[in-house]
Amino acid sequence: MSLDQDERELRAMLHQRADAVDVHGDLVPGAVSRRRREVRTRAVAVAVVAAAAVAVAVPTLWSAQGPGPSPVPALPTTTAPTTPTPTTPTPTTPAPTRSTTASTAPAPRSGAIATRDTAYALDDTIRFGGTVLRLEKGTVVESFAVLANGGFVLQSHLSTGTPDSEIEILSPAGRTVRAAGQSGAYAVSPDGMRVLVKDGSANTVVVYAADGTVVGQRQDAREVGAIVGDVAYLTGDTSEGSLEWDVATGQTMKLPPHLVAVSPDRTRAALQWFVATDAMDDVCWAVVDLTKPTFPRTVERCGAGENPTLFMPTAFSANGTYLVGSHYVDGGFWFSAGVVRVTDGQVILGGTGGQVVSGWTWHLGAGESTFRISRNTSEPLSPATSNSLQACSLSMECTDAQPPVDLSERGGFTEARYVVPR
Amino acid sequence: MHDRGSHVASTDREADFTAYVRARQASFARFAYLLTGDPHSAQDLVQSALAKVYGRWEHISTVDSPDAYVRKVMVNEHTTWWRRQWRHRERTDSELIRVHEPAAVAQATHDEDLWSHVRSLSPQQRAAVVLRYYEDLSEAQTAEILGCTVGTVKSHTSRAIKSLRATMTEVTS
Repeated sequence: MSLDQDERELRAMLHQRADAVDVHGDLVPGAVSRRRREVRTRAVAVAVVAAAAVAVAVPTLWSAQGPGPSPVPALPTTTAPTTPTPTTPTPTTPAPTRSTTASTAPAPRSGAIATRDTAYALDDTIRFGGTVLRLEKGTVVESFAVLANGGFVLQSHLSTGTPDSEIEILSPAGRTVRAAGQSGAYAVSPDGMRVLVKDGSANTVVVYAADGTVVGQRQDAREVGAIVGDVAYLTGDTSEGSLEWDVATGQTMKLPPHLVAVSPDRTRAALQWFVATDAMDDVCWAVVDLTKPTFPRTVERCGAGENPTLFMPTAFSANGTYLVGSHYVDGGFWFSAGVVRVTDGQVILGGTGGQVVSGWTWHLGAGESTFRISRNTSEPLSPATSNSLQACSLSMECTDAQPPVDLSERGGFTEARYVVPR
Repeated sequence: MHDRGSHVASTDREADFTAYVRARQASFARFAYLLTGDPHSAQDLVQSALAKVYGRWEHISTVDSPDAYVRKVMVNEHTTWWRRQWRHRERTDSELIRVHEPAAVAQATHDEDLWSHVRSLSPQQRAAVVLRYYEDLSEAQTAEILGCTVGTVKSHTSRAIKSLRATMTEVTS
């Protein structure tokens, strides 16, 4: 390889840095034990699904008494305040589950259906109104979404098990009705009727109904982009492009690469891609018009002008007015919520410095003026030690919807304990 | 009832894997450090990748270049970490990977700036740079590990170099 001066300097620097690295000990035991933990966890999970199709996340459900505030946040060791009242017969064959809780769970009380604006996760529970669904002890909720029937899509893993996550569709009572894959990705349609999932270990994308039944599937190496009604959007790179896939008719249409979100009326799509620029970071995003055959970009933000607030869109707001997403901060360990206007790209929420809205998960409400966020309320923001569930306006007037919880006992890691649905 | 044959096979597999990793762990640690930029993440990355490799060791140990496979797993794992809004980190109680302070040399400030800039590159760019300029792999070998075309590798590295030049020019001026 013939190198110029810059390349030689770069190579020398890399070697100098690498030469300073030493291994003091044996990396094998840690790797082998990590693998064995994964296998044990997987074995149990498979047994659960095979035996009873019940629950990686078997719930214990109880109701808080009266119309008072939601239960005080509790560590997983907190006991249930009341005894569950089953409304379904106990199975004749007890189901082996990973949970120590009962193998049956009552349906939520009449009217106790989760919505996007009431549900949240705290540690290994999902809560809405006065209802608490207890997931398997040690479940770490990475993300979840509320479906039209009051059920959930849950992406999680066990704190003591594999680092790979699992995606499941849960009934409104918290039972697993579909194990949808491992280490994958998912998107939920704006109406909550459809879920698009790709398993991390196979090139199969599947569309599920809210009750977990399969609506359609196809072999495709592209990744999950979005789903609106029965139309799924798969994101691909420049070589393959993205794809619109009408699950009802089977028709497909090629779209621009790097698609990450589609407006509820399917007239706009957001793209996000990584490029190299002379600036230090390199994320670009754009909005394209899907109604025109050439898919023209109506807004594009790229390169040095975007630094250091690298906006990464993840969804359109309910009426398609805004793109919501995050500003990339601090090496990816936590994020700052971001909102930009679709028509001109103006930043409505988020940014750097005093504009940082540090948190982990959040969503903009249906009215497009308020949001709920699992917020990093630490001072200073890093390392994160405090986590609150807040309700905020876009002008950043915030109130605690749930009391702050301490992160300091979690080994200094910055994973949130509150999780807000997508 | 335990299957003695499978137990022996498992023991052989672990012995074979152990011998391989012990011979190569310093190399993997350095590669991981250049990808992640800090020793803790490097240790997490190496062990996460090796756990996956161990699960498929019967297959991987028979291929011509296990090293390339391990590097590929590490690059993919690191890119996945970066892209996901959430990532799990294993608690590492021990510090198996340590970094000594580089010896003070005349180039120290310049190298520090250069290193800072390399760390600011996107994971794919950084991986391309490390594979090309540290591992001395060809563009084709780098493309194979990154799972992209040779053209993309050329693009990654040329843009990274261009970006480094621009930044270093600013710094020196």
